[in-house]
Amino acid sequence: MPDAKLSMIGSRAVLFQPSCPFDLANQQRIWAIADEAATWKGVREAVPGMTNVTLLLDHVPTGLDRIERDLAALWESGIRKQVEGRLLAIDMAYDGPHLAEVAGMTGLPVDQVVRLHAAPEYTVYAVGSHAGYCYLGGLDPRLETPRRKVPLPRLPGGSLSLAGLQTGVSASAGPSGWNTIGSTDLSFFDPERTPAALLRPGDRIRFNPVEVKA
Amino acid sequence: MFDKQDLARLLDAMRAHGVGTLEIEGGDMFLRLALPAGPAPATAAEAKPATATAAACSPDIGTFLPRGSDDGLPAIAPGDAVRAAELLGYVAQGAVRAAVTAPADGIIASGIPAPGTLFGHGDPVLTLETRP
Amino acid sequence: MIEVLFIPPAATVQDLGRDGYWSQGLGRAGVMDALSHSVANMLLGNDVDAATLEIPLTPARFRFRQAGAFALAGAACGATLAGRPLPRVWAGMADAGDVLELGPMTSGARSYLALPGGIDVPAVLGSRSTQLREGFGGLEGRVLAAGDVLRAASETLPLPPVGLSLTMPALRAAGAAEIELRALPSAEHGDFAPASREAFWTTPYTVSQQSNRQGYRLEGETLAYEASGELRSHGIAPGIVQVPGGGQPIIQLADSATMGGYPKIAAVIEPDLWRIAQARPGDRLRFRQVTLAEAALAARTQQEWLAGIRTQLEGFLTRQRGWL
Repeated sequence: MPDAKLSMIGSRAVLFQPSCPFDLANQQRIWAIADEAATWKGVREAVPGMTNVTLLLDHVPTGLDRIERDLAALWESGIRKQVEGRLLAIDMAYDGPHLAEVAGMTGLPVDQVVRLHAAPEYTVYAVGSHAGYCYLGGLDPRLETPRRKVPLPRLPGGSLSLAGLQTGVSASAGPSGWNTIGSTDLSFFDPERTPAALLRPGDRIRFNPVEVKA
Repeated sequence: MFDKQDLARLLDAMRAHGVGTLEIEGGDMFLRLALPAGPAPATAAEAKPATATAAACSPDIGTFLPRGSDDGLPAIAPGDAVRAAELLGYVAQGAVRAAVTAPADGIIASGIPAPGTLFGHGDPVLTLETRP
Repeated sequence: MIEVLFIPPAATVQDLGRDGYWSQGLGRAGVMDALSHSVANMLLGNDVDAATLEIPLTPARFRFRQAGAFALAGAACGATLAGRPLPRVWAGMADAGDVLELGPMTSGARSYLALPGGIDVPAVLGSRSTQLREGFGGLEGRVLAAGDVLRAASETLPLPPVGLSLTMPALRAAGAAEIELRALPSAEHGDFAPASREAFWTTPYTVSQQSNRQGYRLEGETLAYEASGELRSHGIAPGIVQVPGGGQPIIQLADSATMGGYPKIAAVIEPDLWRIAQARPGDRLRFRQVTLAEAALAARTQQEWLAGIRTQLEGFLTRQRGWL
């Protein structure tokens, strides 16, 4: 048996977690699995997570052997989805309430925090949590910070925040335990638009600082 | 207001209980029902002055289920006052429960049937003493 | 057409949920108690996916602007129509001007109000469910307020003049103090201490006050997670029982996030999610481990029960037509 775990996360939802390092190459294998599995009979949706994939099925499976074998074979094949992906430049005001705190925690001046954050081209690894939210890969390790002890109950949509080695922009108002360093007016999810979510896995983001206010 | 079905039920109830005439008054409405004289049941009581009765009839074929078992409603008992169109119990077939409702404002004058009692469509299930 | 006279700010228009947008991060939303919602619809001859009003807090008061049919199902809440008491499951007619009033809930936690053809709100992304976080769907993407008007999607009045009620499955087994939830072991089940696993399946968990459409926080035996390291974010589905650092479980429900990373001890099977929806703060839950085969059978049994109700209601209508 390959080193992968298959488990039920609902009576019709199956989570496939191969054991692998967390990097873009493995994430591309996950995207390929999700694309392929979404076409299988009995699979309603396939959602890439962070080096894992969740399948929503039409019915409660009577056994997991078949699906496990098929997923493992796909993973072992090593097939990768190398997405061209579009590159989106987002005008970002670095004016979040925790920008100065992040500077303090990282031991970097505010300007340097902004420069390091705006330097990389981030890749959308997965979309989820709330509608249109993107899990981004590519944060500079020098910007690693702990989560906040007391989460904010309602962070507005368009808030740029980071925690651990992750960063992202909230698409709608909600609670957040991350450190918020910026804001944008961009709409990441619009039910009137097709597709409704602005970004897909494989798309890339570059932040363009338009204002710095700590 | 009474529709044709209500009237039919009232007449059925009158026959069942040997009531020759029935007068119902409510708001600006007055209803008088009289059955032609004929072979009345032997138990027919002499008309009591100043009271009338009305039957709550079964809307379906099925078995009786009293109000207040699992429906969130208080149970009812003889002597309780009820309002016209109030739910008094059910006649059930499988999971479907058809409502037995009061034909008029009144006091429950008969006993409550035992759960499981079989009723046909139009059979009187409960009798109310209505205000004259 | 009914007008909301009073309602606490928690009621939303919902159908069976929004399928097909999980990969864009959009949760299903939809009713918490699909069984009561479906029954309320079927009593009016509606599709089970027609939109109803989910009412988690009472008192609430509505006025019928014109005569029409309606149905109620779910929690017992001392409902009255024009002052006459209604059972917790009911379909019948209201006259123009009648006031429908829902009182304090005495058993159950959610009532569903259905109108002929469903509540007429536009379908957005394939569903009429309210997406509260994103602010669309349902009635203007929000909870209802006094002054709102709900329209029936159909003008027809399919009901005979006889009021209808229905025998529902019991929330608890006869004589049981706890609500039993059947569940499958989930991804990190084996990473909890053996004593914690034992406690999870054998001791009751109490529904806390922090319980809503996003999820129910439970209180009971603390569950010790023995593996180390952060989990990578993955898809989560309604019914998943997560255990954050404090060791007290959370059941994620209709409005949960679509991805998360807390350890998962179990997943409540779909046919039992309605039981959670009707559990009130202070109610005690007990998890019973089932196999996939048992989960599949439970799903089939519930579908067959609903199909049986549909058939029985058709039989009732046929009999009524025969007598008219």
